[in-house]
Amino acid sequence: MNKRKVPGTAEKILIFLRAEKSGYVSGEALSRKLLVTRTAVWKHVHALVKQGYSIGSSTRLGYRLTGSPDRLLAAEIREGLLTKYLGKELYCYDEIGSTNETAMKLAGTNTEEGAVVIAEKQNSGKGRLNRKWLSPAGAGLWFSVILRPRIAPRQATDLTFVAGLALVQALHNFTGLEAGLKWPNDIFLDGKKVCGILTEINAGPDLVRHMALGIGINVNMSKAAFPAEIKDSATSLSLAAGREISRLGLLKEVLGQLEEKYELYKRDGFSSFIAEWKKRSVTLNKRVRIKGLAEEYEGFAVDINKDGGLVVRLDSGELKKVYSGDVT
Amino acid sequence: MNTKEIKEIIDLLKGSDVSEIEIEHDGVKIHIKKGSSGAIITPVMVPQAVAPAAMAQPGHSPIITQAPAGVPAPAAEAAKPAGNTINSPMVGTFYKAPAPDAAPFVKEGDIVKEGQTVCVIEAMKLMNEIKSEIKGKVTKVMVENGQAVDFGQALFVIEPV
Repeated sequence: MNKRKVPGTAEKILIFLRAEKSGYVSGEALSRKLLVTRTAVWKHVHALVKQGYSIGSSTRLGYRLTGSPDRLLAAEIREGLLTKYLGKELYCYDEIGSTNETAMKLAGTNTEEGAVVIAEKQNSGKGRLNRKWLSPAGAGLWFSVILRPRIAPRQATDLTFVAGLALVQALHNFTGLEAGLKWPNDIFLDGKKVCGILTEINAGPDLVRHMALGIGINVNMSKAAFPAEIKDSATSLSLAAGREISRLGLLKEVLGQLEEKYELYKRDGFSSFIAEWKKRSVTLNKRVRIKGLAEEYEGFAVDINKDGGLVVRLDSGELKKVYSGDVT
Repeated sequence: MNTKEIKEIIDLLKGSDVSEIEIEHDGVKIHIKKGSSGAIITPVMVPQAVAPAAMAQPGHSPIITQAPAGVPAPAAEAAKPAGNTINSPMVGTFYKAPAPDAAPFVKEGDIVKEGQTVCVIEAMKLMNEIKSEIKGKVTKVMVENGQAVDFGQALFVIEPV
């Protein structure tokens, strides 16, 4: 586990080595810049190599960075991240139960808005109603973003649409894939689900205290990675694009889009997102079946209302507003 | 007066003993009242430009009340039981348990602590764990598992102990 709020010594060593791509940085120079002994520098370099970095060393010249792993390490996420606050505070895990669970706990402490909890692998990734979300090691992006919006609980649902649209835009920018949104915010490619968003909030009757936007993106999963029960309904970006996708690169694009759209929402409100969602929807103007815990019905998806509720025209002609349930 | 200023007034009210405030400023009248459970009325956008003629009619004043414009008054409001209730802070679906096959968070007769989770309300794949604001006994569960609930609808009756 590597859990860091600010760059540690090892991360600072990486920053110095990156700045010197052409040549070596001596152990002595590093020890001077970081105010640690040369032995400590050597220990940190050794730890970085164990994490997957390729670092050449020469007794005469010092250290040289020759390769970085495609691993979700704080130093790699922060490198070239163009956000103001989203993803600046990072909690990176090799393995975790659920990023949302940890994010909700962390959000109750003094974590900053925009803090991100991310793991290579989730052992109990969650979907709605405690369903499982498949999160194998190294093949996807499984993370949660902590936000502290000053809004009422009933407005918090707006942000689930904001997040869905940010993801669609990020996928477009980074992979060129044009994804659709299934109500409310499942991301679809070729009729199959490629990312899901599960949001949790902690709120009083009037105001949200904090929220965790839990995001799961199937990035480089092969067909065989999906078990029989979801193989016809789930896909990955690499399957859709026909090539491997850099998880680190995509993550930075997603964080950038999320921050941009979140700022836009806070400044201009929700209505423009509704319009944008309608353009990207794969649910509207289709016959849909809604399955909830207590009821199940069919109808025609005619619209979403100003709160994001799905408006379904039942066969009786009655218009029903849907706020939850499985839509197929 | 903009929404930010209204929010500031609401925040001010929250930390005070004052339960109700009415402000008239530049032809806009705002009435803010704390709910019975200590809940504060959700801030609602006040129309930026209000015709002075419309202002003269009290019914047209942009007054923030417990049932803000645009949000239909919940039907359950009329049948609201006496005593403390835990109300839904949003439109959504009521879940009595964390998973369909799990034990309910609370049942009638249970004593709940302040801050204890009593149910989950879901809307648009957003889960809101509702907590009791007071210590008390759950005397009635007002809704069924999986039922759609309105904004402000009573979910539980809690008797302080």
